[in-house]
Amino acid sequence: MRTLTQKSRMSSVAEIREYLLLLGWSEKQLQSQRPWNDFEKLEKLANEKGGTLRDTAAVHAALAAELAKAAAAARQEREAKFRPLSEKEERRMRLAFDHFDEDASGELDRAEFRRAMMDCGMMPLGFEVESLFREADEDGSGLVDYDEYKRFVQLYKSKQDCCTVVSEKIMDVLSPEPEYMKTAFAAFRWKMRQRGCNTAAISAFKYNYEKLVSRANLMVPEADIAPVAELRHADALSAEDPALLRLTVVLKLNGGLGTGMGLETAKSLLALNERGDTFLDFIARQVMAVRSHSSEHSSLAFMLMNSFATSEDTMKHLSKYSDLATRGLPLEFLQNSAPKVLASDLSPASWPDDEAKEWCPPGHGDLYPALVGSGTLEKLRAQGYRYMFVSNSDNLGATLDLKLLTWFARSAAPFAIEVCERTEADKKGGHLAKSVATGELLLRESAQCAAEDEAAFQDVTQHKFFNTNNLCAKSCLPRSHPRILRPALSGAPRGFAQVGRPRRSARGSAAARRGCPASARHEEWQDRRPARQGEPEGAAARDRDGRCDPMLPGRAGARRQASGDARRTTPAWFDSLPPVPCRRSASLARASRR
Amino acid sequence: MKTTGDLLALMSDAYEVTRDFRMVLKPSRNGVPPVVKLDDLYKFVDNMKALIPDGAPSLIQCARLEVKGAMVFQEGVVFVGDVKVVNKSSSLKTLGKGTYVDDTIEL
Repeated sequence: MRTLTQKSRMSSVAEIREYLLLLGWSEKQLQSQRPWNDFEKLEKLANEKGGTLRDTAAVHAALAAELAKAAAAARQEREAKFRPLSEKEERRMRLAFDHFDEDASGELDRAEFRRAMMDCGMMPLGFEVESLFREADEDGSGLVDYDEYKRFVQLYKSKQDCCTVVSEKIMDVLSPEPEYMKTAFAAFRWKMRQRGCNTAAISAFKYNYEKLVSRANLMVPEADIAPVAELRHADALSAEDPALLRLTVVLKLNGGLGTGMGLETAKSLLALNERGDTFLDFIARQVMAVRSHSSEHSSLAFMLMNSFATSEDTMKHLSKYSDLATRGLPLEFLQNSAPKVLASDLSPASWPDDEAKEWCPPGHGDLYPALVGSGTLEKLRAQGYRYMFVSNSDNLGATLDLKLLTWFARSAAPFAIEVCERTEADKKGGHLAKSVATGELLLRESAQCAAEDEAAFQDVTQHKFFNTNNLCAKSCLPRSHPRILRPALSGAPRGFAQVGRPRRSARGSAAARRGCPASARHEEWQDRRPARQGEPEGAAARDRDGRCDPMLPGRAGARRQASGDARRTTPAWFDSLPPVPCRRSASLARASRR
Repeated sequence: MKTTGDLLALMSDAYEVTRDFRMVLKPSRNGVPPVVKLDDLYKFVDNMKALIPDGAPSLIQCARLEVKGAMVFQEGVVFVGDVKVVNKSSSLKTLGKGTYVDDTIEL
């Protein structure tokens, strides 16, 4: 159909004939109108049936629609002949696809496609690959997604004669099961696919699972770290750039249930006062208060990351705040689900009585994979958002501080955390430290601390700072970068800021030529090291006392409230953070000593 | 916020709500939150609320509060400094209105 519309502006005689037939003239009636050299006569025929030949585009569109209809009918007919796949076959096809999709993009390119075909018994010659690929790539995107791949293999198999089918079956029995079917992770991959988990979620879980089964020693011994003594204080910051508010989205992490406190609902639905105001009510009012401050503030975007366990209750509760959602953005996106793992043999946990119990939300470390996999990151970037301020929904002291945002935007850091001074209430939680080997900042959580280091871990005068989990992240690429998500998904989940690491693809360089120095900017922070060893670049820690200036929205106020609140970062959370950018440029500060 | 002890502290007068709806420690706390350690009896929110039927006690001057055993706080309970309230019996006891300073109270 493409050739039809592209060929010429004029309709050919053959096209006119097709068009008239489409309008309802019969072959015989048209024959009687010969010779067809009188345009006006043909136009009259068209007019009689409510069409016109003068609008060439409409003629082409009508023919194209007809062609598409015919193609769909043909496909349906073909697919009717498909043999339904057994679960075993489907499983193998899915696992093969994921296995050969080496960059975990969810689509196969030509090289990946060829390897996948060979795995399922096809032996295409070099020149055949191209035509087979085009056949499989139904939408002409240059990549084959799983649905396209599945249809293609089924079509191929439906064309096989019975001898081939039998011999293939024999080969299948004789040949060893491929590696990707046998690995421990294959069972999880299949289970997640069955549930509809996206590729980003699977990659993230795989990263964590492989860490788990590696039996690697993930402890952080006291001897390997040094305390962080001095950090610049957030109160020392003074510059404010309100223009940044337009580029910023405030995100509340709201995936957690209050199961530890006997709740079946989101923890943020707990009432805090006699009026029954919940954490969510406070959050909604905080957002509105910030927006009412000035015209620049009024456009501040707000979103929630909910989990499958908290989404319904949360959205219902917030429905009374009709102005809370941001124009052009959904109010929430969902965290992924992670399959529970049996402690005994590290296989997927099974609970047939209630399969929902086989899943859990993976915690806040899921932020990046969830942003990517849900398509939220792409949506935000397409709308021009560059900065994200993240905090926990049960931290009612955490609001966006324009001074911090301004500092962060001007720094080269792709990621920053706010830290506070530890008190007795915080001694069991994690703390900030510096790697002796590299000088980089890191977080040590209690699970990473061996028994003999417990005293040092809990010494709040030695390890003085804890992470509030108030985070800033930025996206460093021009908008709509092609294949933006791809590099982030291969292997470990990477940082928000890293997610768009440019490939040197055609469109990337075009963007660079247009004045968006993608790779330049990329290199800028790739090569960035902390200014000096032992002095992390940038700084930001806030007071946690109650002093605040209500006229300055987001003014450094208490960044923690309930004791213990800020220590929800788990080792898993930190593990899944981008180790390089986080440690290299996490920006911290000296909390004031009183 | 991990425990009902954290929640109790948050409901107390150690915190205040700012004009922009942030909940923060009062300035006199100097950035140090009260540490509240409740018996496992109060692990679940409903049970913790039954401990304070008339609202949270005053913790503005309290550094540390520990509660052991079954009890109910009357309205107007004020804790100052480091206080421990203990009920070793299995019957429910009441902690009456009053100010308790750096003490271990056996009910």
